[in-house]
Amino acid sequence: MKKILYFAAIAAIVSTALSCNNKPAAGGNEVPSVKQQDAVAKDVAKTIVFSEKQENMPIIKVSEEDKAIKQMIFTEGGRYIITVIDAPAAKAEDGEEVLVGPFTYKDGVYSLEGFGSIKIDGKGIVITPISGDAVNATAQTVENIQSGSEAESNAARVWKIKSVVIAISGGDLDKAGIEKTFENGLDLKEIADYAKSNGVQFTDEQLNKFKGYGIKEIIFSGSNTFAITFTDAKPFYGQFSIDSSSFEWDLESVGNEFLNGKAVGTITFPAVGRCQLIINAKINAQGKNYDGTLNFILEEVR
Amino acid sequence: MKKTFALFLALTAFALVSARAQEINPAEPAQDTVAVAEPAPVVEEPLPLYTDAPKEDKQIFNHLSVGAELLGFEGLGLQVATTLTPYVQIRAGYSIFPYSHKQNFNLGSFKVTEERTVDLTNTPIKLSLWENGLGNLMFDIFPGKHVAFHFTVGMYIGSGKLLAAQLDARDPILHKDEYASLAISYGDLKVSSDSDGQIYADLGFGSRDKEVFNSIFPYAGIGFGHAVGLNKRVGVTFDMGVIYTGGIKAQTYNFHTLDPVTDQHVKKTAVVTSATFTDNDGNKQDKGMVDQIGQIPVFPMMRLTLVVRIF
Repeated sequence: MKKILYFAAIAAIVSTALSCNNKPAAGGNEVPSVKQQDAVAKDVAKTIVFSEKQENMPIIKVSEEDKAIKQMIFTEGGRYIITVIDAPAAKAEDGEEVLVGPFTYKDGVYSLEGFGSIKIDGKGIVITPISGDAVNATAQTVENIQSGSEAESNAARVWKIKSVVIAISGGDLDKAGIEKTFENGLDLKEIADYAKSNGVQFTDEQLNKFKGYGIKEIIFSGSNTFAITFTDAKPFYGQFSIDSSSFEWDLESVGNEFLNGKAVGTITFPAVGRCQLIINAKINAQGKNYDGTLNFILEEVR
Repeated sequence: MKKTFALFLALTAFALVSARAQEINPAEPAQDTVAVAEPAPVVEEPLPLYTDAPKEDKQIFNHLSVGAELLGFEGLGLQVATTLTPYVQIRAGYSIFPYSHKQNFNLGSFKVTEERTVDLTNTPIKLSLWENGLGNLMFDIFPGKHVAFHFTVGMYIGSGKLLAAQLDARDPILHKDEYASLAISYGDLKVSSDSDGQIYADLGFGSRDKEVFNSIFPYAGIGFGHAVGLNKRVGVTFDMGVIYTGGIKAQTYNFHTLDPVTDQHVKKTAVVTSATFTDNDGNKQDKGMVDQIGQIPVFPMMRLTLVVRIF
C-alpha cells in the first residue's frame, strides 16, 4: 500500500510538470490541394474563335466605337471574355481589349450582362447587342472547354479576394522588408500608398496610375485564358499555365508594378471554394528595384 | 493547479506518516507469571543505515523526505524523495522562476520615411526564465552506504523555453491597424505583433529543424548529500551536471498570415540563424557564431536543496 502511495506521489509530480508543458503552436504548413466542386457553367463553357481576317470578324459597337470581335470565351465560372480590336485596324492587335462580365445560359442562348445575347448554331453565331441590330457571323472554331489537369479544373472558375499578404523587400530596404495583410479585397492604390509610407520610393505619378485598380474578380478558364477585373479600370487579361502547383501567367494587356506582365508563383486549393495564389512581382520605383510577393487567399464566386 | 498539487502532496504525506506510526508502535504483549530465566547475552550489531529504521531495512520505498530548492539554475522548487536501495535514492520535483523582469529598453529609433519614424528608445520588455517551470525525476547513485558523494541520472521536463521576451509594441510604436497585420522581415526572419500589439521572442532548447522546443532533457551529474538524510533528519544537498538539450535557438513569431481555410490569424515561427546576419555580399556579420552556439547540445544545471526526512 505504501509503495503504491509513493508511486502515486512521484507520478503526480511528474505528471503535473508534464501538464504544465506549453509547446508553441506550430505555424501553418503546406496544405494539400482539395478537389473543387464542378464550376457553375462547366457544361456550357465554350471558346469561339473568328477568322484572323478582320473583314470576316463580326463588328459591334463598344462605347460608340466600332470594334471587331476576335474571339469569345464563355468560362466555366459563368463569365464571358470577349476580345475585340479596332475596326478597321491597321494591325491585328490595334486597340485590343477585352469585355468581361457575367452570363447566363438558357435554351441555347447566352445572355451576357451589359453586352447582349449570343446564340450558337454549329459555327453560325448570332450576336444581338443590347442596342443595335443583330449580327450574323461564322466562327472559325467553336469548341467546348475542358480542363487538362485537376489543378487547371480546380482553377477554372471565378474568384474574389478574401485576403492578401504583400511582401516587399530590396531597394533602399536592403535586406529588410515589410509584409502587410489586407483583408476583404485588394486595392492596388491602397497598397502603393502603404508601401510608399514604409520606404518604397514610388513617385506621385506612379501612385496616381494605381487609381481605380481595386480588384473585383480573378477569372480562370480551362482554355488557359484568364482575366482580372477592377473597380474602375480596364481588365487585365492573358494566358496562364499550371504545372502541379507551379503557376505562371503572361499578360496580353499591359500590367503594372504589382501585377507584372509575366509572373510566376504557386497555386493550391486548401479547401472547397478556396484557392491560395502566390505570385512574385518586380517593383521599380525611382530606379530602385524591389522584390515583391503577393499571397492571395481567394474565395470562389458561384 | 499549484494549490491542488500541494494538497495532494500533503494528503499523501499524511497517509504515509499514519501507516508508519502503526508500524513503530505494535500492540503490548500479555502479562503472565513465568520463572525468570538467565538473560540472553547481548550481541552487538552494526547500526542500520537509518537510526530509527527496523534492523532488516532492505525494502524499497520505506523512507520519505521533502525538500526545497533554495538556489539553482532552475529557480525555486519543491521535491519529494525516497529510498530505492541503500545505494540508490529517487527524487522528483518541480521548480519555477516565480517572478519576471519588466524594464524599458532603448532599442534605437528607426526613420522609415520623412513622415514616419519608429521610436523604440523606451520600449517596455518583459523577460521571464524557464516558462512554466521544470519538472524533474532523478536517481542518485551512491558508491557506498555511508558516502555522501553520488552520481545522478534522470531527466528534466518543461516547455524548453529558457528565456521568453515580450515586447509591448502598441501605439505609438505600431498603429492599431498594424496589429497582427504588419510584419517586419529581415532575410528569412519575420516578426509581427499579435492582435494585442505584443511581440514575442524566445530563447530555448531544440533543433532548428522543428518549430517547437524540446520538452524532455536527459540529465547526468554528480552531487553531495542524501536527499533522504542519513543520521540527521535535516540536511542539504548539492548537485551539478548537464542536460542534453539538442541545441539552443532563438526564434520570433509573426501573426499576420491568415489561414487559407479558416481566415484566422496563424502563428508562424522564424528561427534566428547566422544567415539572418549575412549581408547581400555573403559576409557573415556574426562570423558564424550564432550557428556554432546553436549546435552546442548541452546546458549546465546546478542546485542547492534543503531536505527534511519525514520518516
